[in-house]
Amino acid sequence: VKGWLWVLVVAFLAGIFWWGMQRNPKELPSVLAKERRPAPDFTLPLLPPYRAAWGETFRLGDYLGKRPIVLNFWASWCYPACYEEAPVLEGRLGGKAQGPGCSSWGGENTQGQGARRAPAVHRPSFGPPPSPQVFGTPEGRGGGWTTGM
Amino acid sequence: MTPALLGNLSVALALAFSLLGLALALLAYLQGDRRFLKGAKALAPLTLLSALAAFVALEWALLTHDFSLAYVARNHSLQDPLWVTLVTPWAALEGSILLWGLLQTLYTFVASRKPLDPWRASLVLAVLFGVQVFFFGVMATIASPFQTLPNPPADGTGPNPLLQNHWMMAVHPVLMYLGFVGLSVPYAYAVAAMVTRRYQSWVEETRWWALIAWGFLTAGKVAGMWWSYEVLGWGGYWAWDPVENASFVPWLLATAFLHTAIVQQTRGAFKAWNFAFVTLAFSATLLGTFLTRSGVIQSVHAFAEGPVGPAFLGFFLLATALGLGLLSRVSREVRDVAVFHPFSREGALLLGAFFFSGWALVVLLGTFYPLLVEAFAGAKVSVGAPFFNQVSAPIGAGILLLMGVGPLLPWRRPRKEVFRNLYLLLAALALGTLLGLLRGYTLGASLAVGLFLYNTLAVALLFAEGVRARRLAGLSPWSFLENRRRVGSLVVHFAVALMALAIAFSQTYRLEAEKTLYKGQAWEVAGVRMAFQGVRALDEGRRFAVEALLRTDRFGEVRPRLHFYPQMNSPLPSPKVIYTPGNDYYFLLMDFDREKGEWASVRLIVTPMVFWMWVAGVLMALGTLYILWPASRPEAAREVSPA
Repeated sequence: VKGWLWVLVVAFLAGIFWWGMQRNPKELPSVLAKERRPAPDFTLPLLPPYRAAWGETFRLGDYLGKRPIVLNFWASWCYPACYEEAPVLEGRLGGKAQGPGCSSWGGENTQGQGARRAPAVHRPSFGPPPSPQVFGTPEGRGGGWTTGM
Repeated sequence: MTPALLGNLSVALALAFSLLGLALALLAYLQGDRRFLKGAKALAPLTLLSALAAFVALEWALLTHDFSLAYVARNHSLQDPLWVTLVTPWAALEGSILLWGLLQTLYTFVASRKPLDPWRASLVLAVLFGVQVFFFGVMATIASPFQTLPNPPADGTGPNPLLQNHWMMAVHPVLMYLGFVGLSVPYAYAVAAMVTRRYQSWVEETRWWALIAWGFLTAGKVAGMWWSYEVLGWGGYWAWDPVENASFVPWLLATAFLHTAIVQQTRGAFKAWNFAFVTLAFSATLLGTFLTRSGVIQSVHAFAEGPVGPAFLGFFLLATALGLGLLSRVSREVRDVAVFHPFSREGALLLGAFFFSGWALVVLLGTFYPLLVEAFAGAKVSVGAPFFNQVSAPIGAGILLLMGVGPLLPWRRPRKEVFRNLYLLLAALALGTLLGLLRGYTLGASLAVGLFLYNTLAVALLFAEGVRARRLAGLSPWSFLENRRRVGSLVVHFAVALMALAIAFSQTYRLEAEKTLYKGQAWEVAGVRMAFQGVRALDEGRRFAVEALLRTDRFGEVRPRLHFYPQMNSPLPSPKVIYTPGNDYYFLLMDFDREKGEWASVRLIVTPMVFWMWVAGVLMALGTLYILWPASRPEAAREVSPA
């Protein structure tokens, strides 16, 4: 039996890697949407152009439970695509957001090692897959997500 | 003659020569006819020349901007500077396979010149030609660097900007490949030894090869860390990325082999371990390549997924199956019967090998854990740096402990005078740790100080012992330097201790600060006072650069940059790193006011001792070079016993 152990090892490796090649590692189902978990709270400093309207920092908790929230994550290097996309997304959401209690703003999140960046208002996201737009309920439960424009 | 024609012809020739060489080498073994072996040996320089011609063809195409080649069209542009053009052959998949194949033919050629009995020589050549058949087969079929385009563009996009952003990228891949390919020779020798059932001499014969491969792997890894530090813009040098791990594993196994090989050479033990380490080290290099080429695991290093994934998987499985299958066949004959005293040189070396291979296993498990979980539980998980750091710290500390005491222990069983040294070492360890704690360092950093002191003292003791032994024998004390293996390994051991200290401090005491500065605004942080004086844009042809002008009190004007490449929709940071012996000051431009240039977001990362990591890397390479220096072989391979 022991002499055949190496065959098992090789066969196992063959199986797992072959299976691994058949799938797309870039496909990431949204954890928030699947488990309906509340969005984690955060406080981040705002970029200069938005301080007049929103103050020095932005805390998600202050807005939870009041109205539907659109959080928009994107990376700080996403220029000019994210900047240019902003009016498009705002137009889409903004039209519906005329009713009571709707607002939208952008946040951003770099992909790098722990590099969290300041959120900015009205600058929605565009970019490669891990820069999702998350849609949620007033309690901050994830409703769904989409990537790109 | 066009580059495409020359390239395709050369690849086809190299493949044909390799196939013929494989056939002749196998015939030489099966028939016992030396004429076949002679023929196989004669083919080695021919494959080398063919591969060289193919490589020259690719450089030719790049230098003459021959965009009719798909590889050139995809990875080259008219605006590339000369050095970028010259290193573009390893900017993408097909070219890097060509480089790999070229280096393999070089190693095969050198290996074919080494004197060896005809049985094993033919098997060694068969394995090496077999490896070449794989690489040139891949190049001739699914990943040809010389594929032509029906409608060539007038200009291309240029290579991946990450490659152009730092000159280290010209060095790092070549060093890695030299290391990877170097491991194929010990593997071939191991296979030959297991087939012919001559278990002893191959270790002595391949130690040189293993050391060369190890030296290149070490240099390649340090170069990669440097590149990562200066290009990726996060101020770190190691992220436990799957591909970093996949190249760390062969390094660990090669290190284990270098140490257990000493025991087999001196005492004839650990035969099975040596076979296993060499087989696994070689197949781990193929596994790493499979990872980068197949998209099995997501990684920053991953090339675009192509058809080469299954080919590399098959070759990896074949190499592993061949090594492990042969080992299981001869396992009864290579089993160790002797029991080792744990407090002897061989005991320490075996324990060290366990640490290295255990580390390799843990890193592999962490890397593939997401794949395993997804396969069996269907869930997506990720294993991050915290896991790897947590398991690596104790293993690394164990290795550092063994590294100090191991070389001081005599073979077989401890002698009395060893204990005096041991007490000295333990005192150094305790003293260093205590000093660290008194200075207010964390426990981990203090232990690192203790271990550094402990290892430095151990190296000093060994040096003194060697010099004293020479003097007692009536020789000049300087003649100890002629024991290149001993002296070189002491230098490497000291460098490892230094590297460990630098890693411990840079990981523990990293300081990061970020601020958005308006024009004229000053900011004082981490002992540096800087004033933001505005941004400047520069059109550099192939890229567009934006630099922030920061006037600092300590380093004059510092200009961190962002590079915008036309083929990338996101800028690449080009941080300004100021190395000092104490701390590294890493200035990073994060963002800036695109409309008026009124403000810029700047990050400063202050990391202690990173400078010493590069020093340690250079010392490791120098120590290895000292051992390998031709004048020392083979006399200096023998040790002068201090007793």
